[in-house]
Amino acid sequence: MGDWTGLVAAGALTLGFLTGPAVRAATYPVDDMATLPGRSTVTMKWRTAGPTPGDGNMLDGATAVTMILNTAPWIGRTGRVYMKLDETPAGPVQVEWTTQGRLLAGFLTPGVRALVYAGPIRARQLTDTLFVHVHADGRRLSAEQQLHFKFEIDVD
Amino acid sequence: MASGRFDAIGRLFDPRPTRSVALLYVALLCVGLSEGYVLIRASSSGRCWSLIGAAALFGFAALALCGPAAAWILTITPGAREVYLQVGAGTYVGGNYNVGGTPGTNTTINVASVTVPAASVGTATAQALTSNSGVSLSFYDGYATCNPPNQVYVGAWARPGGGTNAATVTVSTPATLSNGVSTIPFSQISWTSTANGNSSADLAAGIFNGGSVTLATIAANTWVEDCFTFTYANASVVPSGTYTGRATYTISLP
Repeated sequence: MGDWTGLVAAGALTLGFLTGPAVRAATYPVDDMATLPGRSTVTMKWRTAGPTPGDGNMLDGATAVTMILNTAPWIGRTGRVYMKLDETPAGPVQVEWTTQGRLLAGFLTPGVRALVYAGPIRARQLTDTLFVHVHADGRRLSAEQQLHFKFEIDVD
Repeated sequence: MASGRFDAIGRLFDPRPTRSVALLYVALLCVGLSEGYVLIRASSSGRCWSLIGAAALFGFAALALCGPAAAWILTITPGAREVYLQVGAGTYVGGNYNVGGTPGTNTTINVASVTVPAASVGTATAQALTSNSGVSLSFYDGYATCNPPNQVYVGAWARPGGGTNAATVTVSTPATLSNGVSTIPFSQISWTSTANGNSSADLAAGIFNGGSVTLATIAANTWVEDCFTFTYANASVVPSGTYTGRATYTISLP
């Protein structure tokens, strides 16, 4: 008897998935596995041709990435997509980017998140090319460092 | 057991699950997609296998909840290792550094010299050398750092890039200046180190010793500069003639 009760309950819940949004208003990680390239390397260059007390220790680098975010789970919902940068031992890394208009341009430092999209989710993927500029303190960057970016969505 | 399976599914899709239960089940259903795999391995109970079976049955629902999150990884490299050393003449291309100039190559070997009057030879009356370097201005910002020809500009900087070591500036000489078979010990020549507008020298004053003398250890990403004024001690009587020797300045970044 218990088996039948459970089966009915499961079936009803499954039907709910098929007939309408079942995602609660909350924050969810967004799959960016399809992003191209998934891993990039930026050769950082000194901002100036010699050291100064000011920005002479800064390193700059740039790259482009086609960001492909899987928004399929939230089609029909409204939300805000954020890009996050994990903390890094490289110190106060700054990342800024421009886009081709689908996503928002922005600025990011480790440990915080920046809004890249706000509005209704109408497609299975949210895609845009980001032109990313990275700035780091050359005194803190004594070896290669990996910057880990993540995406998450606040679903209304 | 069967009721247990459905109970688990029912709780999974309960519209008001407790936070811990919901997180656990979502993670378990993300088999092979994200951290859920670790949790599956950590649990070998029959209950876990039941949940896997349930996930297979309702896989589409599980995917809708999971949203496996990969991370775009951007690797950044350290800056290139760079050193700059200027003794006397030097070159910056495109203006001084502070207006975007970049270091150039200058192969000039400047000469510092003195002619000792015959009556003064070997009297221990110090003789100041003058140089053929006309460098007064720093390539850093064009500041009139030195007063040639009595002073010789010496400047250096280093960027360790991927390393953390400090650069070292040294000067080395042979044991003597030579005039045929006649010699004068290089240790008869010393220098002071000063700079206009800088009360403390970055590069050390000293005396040539016929070997290597360390002038400075340069902190990473630091520009140091001073002006050397050379003096001949004139401590011994030597045959007349022109005595020459070369001091070689080196910057090294381990």
